[in-house]
Amino acid sequence: MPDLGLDVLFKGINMQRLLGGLWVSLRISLIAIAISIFLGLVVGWLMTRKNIVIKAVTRVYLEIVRIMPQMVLLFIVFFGTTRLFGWNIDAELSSVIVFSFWGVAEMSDLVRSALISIPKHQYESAYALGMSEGQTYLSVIIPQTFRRLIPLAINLITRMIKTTSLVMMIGVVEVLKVGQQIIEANRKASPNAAFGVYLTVFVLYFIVCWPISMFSKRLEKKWS
Amino acid sequence: MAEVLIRIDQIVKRFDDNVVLNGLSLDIHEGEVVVVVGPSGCGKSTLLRCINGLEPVQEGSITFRGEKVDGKAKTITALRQKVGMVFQSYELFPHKTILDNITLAPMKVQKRSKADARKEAEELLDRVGLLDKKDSFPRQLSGGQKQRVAIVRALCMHPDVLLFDEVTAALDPEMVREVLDVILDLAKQWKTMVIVTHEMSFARAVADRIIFIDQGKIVEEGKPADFFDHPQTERAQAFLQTFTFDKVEKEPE
Amino acid sequence: MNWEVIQSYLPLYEKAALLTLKIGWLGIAFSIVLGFVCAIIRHYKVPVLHRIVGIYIELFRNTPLLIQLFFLYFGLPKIGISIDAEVCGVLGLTLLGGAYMAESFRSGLESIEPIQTESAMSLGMSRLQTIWHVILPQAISSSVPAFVANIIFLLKETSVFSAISLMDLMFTAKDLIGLYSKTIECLAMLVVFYLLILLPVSIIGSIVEKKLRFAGFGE
Repeated sequence: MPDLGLDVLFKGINMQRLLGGLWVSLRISLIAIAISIFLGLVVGWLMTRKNIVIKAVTRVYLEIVRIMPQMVLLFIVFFGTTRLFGWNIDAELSSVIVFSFWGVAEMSDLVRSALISIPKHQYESAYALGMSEGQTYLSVIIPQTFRRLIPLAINLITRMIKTTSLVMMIGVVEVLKVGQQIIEANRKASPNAAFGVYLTVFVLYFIVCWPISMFSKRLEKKWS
Repeated sequence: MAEVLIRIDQIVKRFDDNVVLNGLSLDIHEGEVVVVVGPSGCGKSTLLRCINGLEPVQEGSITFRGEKVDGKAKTITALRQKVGMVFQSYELFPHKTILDNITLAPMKVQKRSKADARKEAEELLDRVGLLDKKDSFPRQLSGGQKQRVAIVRALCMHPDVLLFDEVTAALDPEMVREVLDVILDLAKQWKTMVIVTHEMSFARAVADRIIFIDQGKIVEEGKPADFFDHPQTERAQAFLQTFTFDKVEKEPE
Repeated sequence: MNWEVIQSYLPLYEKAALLTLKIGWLGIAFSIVLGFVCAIIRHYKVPVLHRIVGIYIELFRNTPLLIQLFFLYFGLPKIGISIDAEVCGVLGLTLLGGAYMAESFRSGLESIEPIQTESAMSLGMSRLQTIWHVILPQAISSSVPAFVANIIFLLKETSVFSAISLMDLMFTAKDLIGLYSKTIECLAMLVVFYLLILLPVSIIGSIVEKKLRFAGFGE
């Protein structure tokens, strides 16, 4: 049996440190998700309005987010703003800004397509029953929209969590960085730690993301 | 009487605990048009699917010209070429043009030449009045047109028998006629057909024999005139009643 | 913005972009093949294999590429499996992309009603003929939008390759910023090069989508 370097995890507070690092990533994603959901609902609803200016601006915004790697956006905010405006935004705040920028775009697109997916005759049949516009939205349109939206929004959460692994590249000390530090510190005592630690980080991400994906899949099946 | 083409012998078909066909026997003769009627869920569509080996039966047997129908056997593709089937939902292949829909199986299964398959397909399309649609895609056709193409597609394999599974049930009323006319035309040419339908006046016109199925069994069978005018069993009478309406008598005010 | 700086950096960026393109498209090509095979195994429930493929898909869809690469590149050598950085990049992208492509293609397969299979079989077609002539063409064309989205996603994901010391665009940008702190020029060139890589895919993708949806099905 080769040395898998798993022993290092049980030394001192190493496991606790890894979990602490995971929490840093999760904290960034949770804040970004909260912002994305809130602003995404607003922007998504705006996108269904028939205003040409709003349409053009949101179109460009969505296209930028669709095409630019999040890493590039992270670099721009982290390195670029200091240079251009002299702002000193720390790595964690940069991450929250970038992931919110990305998340709002994704969320608003989901909201928009959920809203326009409700067929027109659903509105018409509600009006035909004598319901007001407010009543129609509240008891007919919004419940249907949410059923389409929630599984996809939950799915966005797992994507957000996975993408936060990138923040290590601009120097946030999160789970992967902590892993690196542990491997470095135990270079002599357990030379194979890289296998055990990175495997553990891999598994940790899976443990966090998989249940959320499954939940979203189940909701989608149940509500479709 | 003509030779027996299909012999259905005491078949039992279950889906889990639900018995759909319960010891049903029926002979279909060469050149005969058999129309199967009965209430929804009586097993008539399942019967057609069993004849084509799309559904296995749990007991009894179906033979075609003496050969057992078995969906798992190697010979099933040879057998299915002789048994054409037309579905309620047309099931044309949406990614192929009308002509390609018709010629696919003759070319790939029967290895006929492209020229030969196309020539026959065009003749048949012309017969049903759809030659001008040969390069269209299924989505560009109306339901009635699609169903006529589906019939042509089955015919182009030169089957010995055609199975029609409620082929007009999904159509708008004004398109039903154009499809039924095609089937009536086939009946004149002595094609052997088994037809499941809810169109009673069509059934009466086309059938040599009516089979009335209820709860997985043949309850009554006979010539169309006898069956429609003098149904013998209570269940057949009740079934035929559902197609007639009595004049409303208003309640006293 | 200093044009001389940009000009002097240009060869470095070009080289980096070629590396990104090479690894990216190789990984995408392999992931399409892998995804295709996995989707068929899943859809037709090939015994034993479909369970293994299911686990693979869940594992790689629920973990980040960066972590997968770290494990492949730094972890595996410790148990005696050393992989060259470029191969590692292609392998990582293939494993990630294969899982995504498999799911997209499988939902394409699932979108085809079983009665299409029956109607082909009722014409005497064998199982293989049915899959080849009837099921696959429809499944592929209905998966195209998801395929395009996956390709764009995978090309964007290549931006983490610098973590396993591949000298791609991100690596070059970060390196040059660190060395000469011409931040604005470096970032601008980074954006332009990624646009050059991704914009054509996005545009061609949406044209192909339209073509397939309208011409293919004759709408």
